[in-house]
Amino acid sequence: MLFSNVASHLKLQYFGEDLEIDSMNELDLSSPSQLTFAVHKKYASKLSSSRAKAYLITDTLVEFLPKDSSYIICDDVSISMAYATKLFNKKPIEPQLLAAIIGENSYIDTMAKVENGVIIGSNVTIMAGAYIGTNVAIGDNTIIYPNVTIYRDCVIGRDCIIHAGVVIGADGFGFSHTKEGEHIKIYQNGNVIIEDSVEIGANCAIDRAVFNSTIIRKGTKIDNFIHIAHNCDIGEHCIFVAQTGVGGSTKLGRNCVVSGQSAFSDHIDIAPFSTFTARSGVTKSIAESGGVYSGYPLMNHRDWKRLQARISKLKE
Amino acid sequence: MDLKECAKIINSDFEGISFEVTGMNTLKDASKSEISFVSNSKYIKDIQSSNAGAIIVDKSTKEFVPKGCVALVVESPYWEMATLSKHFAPPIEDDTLAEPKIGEGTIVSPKAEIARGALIGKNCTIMAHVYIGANAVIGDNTIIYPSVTIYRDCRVGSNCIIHANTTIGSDGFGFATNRLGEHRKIYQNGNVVVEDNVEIGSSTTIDRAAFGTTLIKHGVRIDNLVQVGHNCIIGEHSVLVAQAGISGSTTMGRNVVMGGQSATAGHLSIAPFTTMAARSGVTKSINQSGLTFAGFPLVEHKIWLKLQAKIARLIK
Repeated sequence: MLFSNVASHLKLQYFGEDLEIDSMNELDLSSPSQLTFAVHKKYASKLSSSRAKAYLITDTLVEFLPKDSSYIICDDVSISMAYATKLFNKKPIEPQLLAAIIGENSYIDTMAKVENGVIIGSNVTIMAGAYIGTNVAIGDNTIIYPNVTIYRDCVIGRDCIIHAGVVIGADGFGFSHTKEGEHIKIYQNGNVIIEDSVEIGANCAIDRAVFNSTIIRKGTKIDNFIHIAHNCDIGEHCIFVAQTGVGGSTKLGRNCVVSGQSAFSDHIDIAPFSTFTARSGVTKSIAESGGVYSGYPLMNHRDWKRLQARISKLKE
Repeated sequence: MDLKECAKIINSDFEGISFEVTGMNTLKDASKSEISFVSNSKYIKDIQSSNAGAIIVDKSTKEFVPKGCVALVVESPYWEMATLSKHFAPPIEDDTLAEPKIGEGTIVSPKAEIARGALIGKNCTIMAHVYIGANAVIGDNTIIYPSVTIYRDCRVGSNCIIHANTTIGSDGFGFATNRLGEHRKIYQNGNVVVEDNVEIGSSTTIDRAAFGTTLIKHGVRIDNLVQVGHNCIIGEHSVLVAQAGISGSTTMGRNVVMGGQSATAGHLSIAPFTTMAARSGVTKSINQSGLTFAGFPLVEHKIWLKLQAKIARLIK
């Protein structure tokens, strides 16, 4: 799509050269063919090192743009960005793609639906009511139980087990908010990557990234009813017990253990080998690895036990 | 069904003129042809203003039933209301209804199931394994992702997005309990109405009303794994973040934000522009609009912060 088409969709003027744009991305991850955006003054320093050539930007940030950039000046960059994402959103179904390629000894139930463009490895089992979206790839020996939905463009590794009712790759919960209190959809044009040997319990929801990928790394085991938001990066061999939730863009290192009903805020980084007891509420990044934590607000597990002892004495 | 028959089902001594009963409803909403009930003395004041044609009461409440309204006297009105509700439950599927009507430009997967009596608007996408129940109505331009179930009589507006595996209109969690501790199902004969421009995440459940409607107003955004109980009203442009739970009959004004894993008790009223932080537990109605709350028990967010600081000092 041409940059001028983006401008006319937004009903705004563009400055600089008219470029071919293939997708959108965040400021620091953009390639020269991607459209990016800068909302806030704090991005001024990142702008100078950006590789992107096309920007949605506020007038106050124009002076920080790299030389020869093309740009659109927006009153509200986050709202214009949301409207622009719609232009790069792909339709759920693309009948013109090639029929699915299915490996040897794989079993696909007649009540399952596999869209075009899909690649399925060998010895895969796909059970009744499963839905495998456009361009999805599934590795060898993976088992997909009934009524699992995998949205388009997602990637599932080999030796995975996905239990019934799981949804992988639904839209992340991302909106720009108008002054009138309305919520403008930011189309979620990324995907989900599940690496090898991951097991996911029944009725989990793992959302697709807004740009790039939500990643579940190899060997991670996830129980039932777990929510993993867009752009999360879950490290190798983590354990998630039932009903936990992870906010958007949060990163966990390898071998974290997250007990039942715990939850993480968005945009935090958790060191490897961290353990969280049941009902933990994690709102800040954890830099030191190997800790054990409890409670909400979160504290060291030992402190939490001391605190509970004190609290139980308060009633005497 | 004839009122005489209804009286017989619940073993009530029937006095007065019989009429054709069209359904059951609350005291407030019942019409002349409907049966209502009083199971709690706090509703006695509502009897006088009720338009119900007949009311199930116990001996002590009989005297409050006005002239022209039939009193059906039983030992335990709530239990007998449950007994009778079964007889007003419509069939799950109904062969006597017309073939479903599907608007121009709408794509329906051959693996989706549309029950008789359903109406689907223009330019919708209905993907594989979707079930749309009898008499359900879907507006224009709505996308329904795989394995979504919409139960009979429910309505979804235009420009909505319903993500995979979400269930709209399953039975609300309503039972009458007798002295032996047994639970009898209260058939949930109401519906769910989702207005225009609503997005609902994956594996979310919105239960149908016992009587009347569970209502999601326009512009609402609901994340994954959210539970909305029967007879709730969610105000315009409200936001329900992942794993939030709204108990039955709770009403929210516009632009309420419920953080992740937050929850409300039943029968509350939440003022517009209220924000609940993650994990909030709301047990009382909020009358003043525009405030932010946190914690369980719920307090204003700034007080919660102070309280947590004091608690942290307990172990110093």
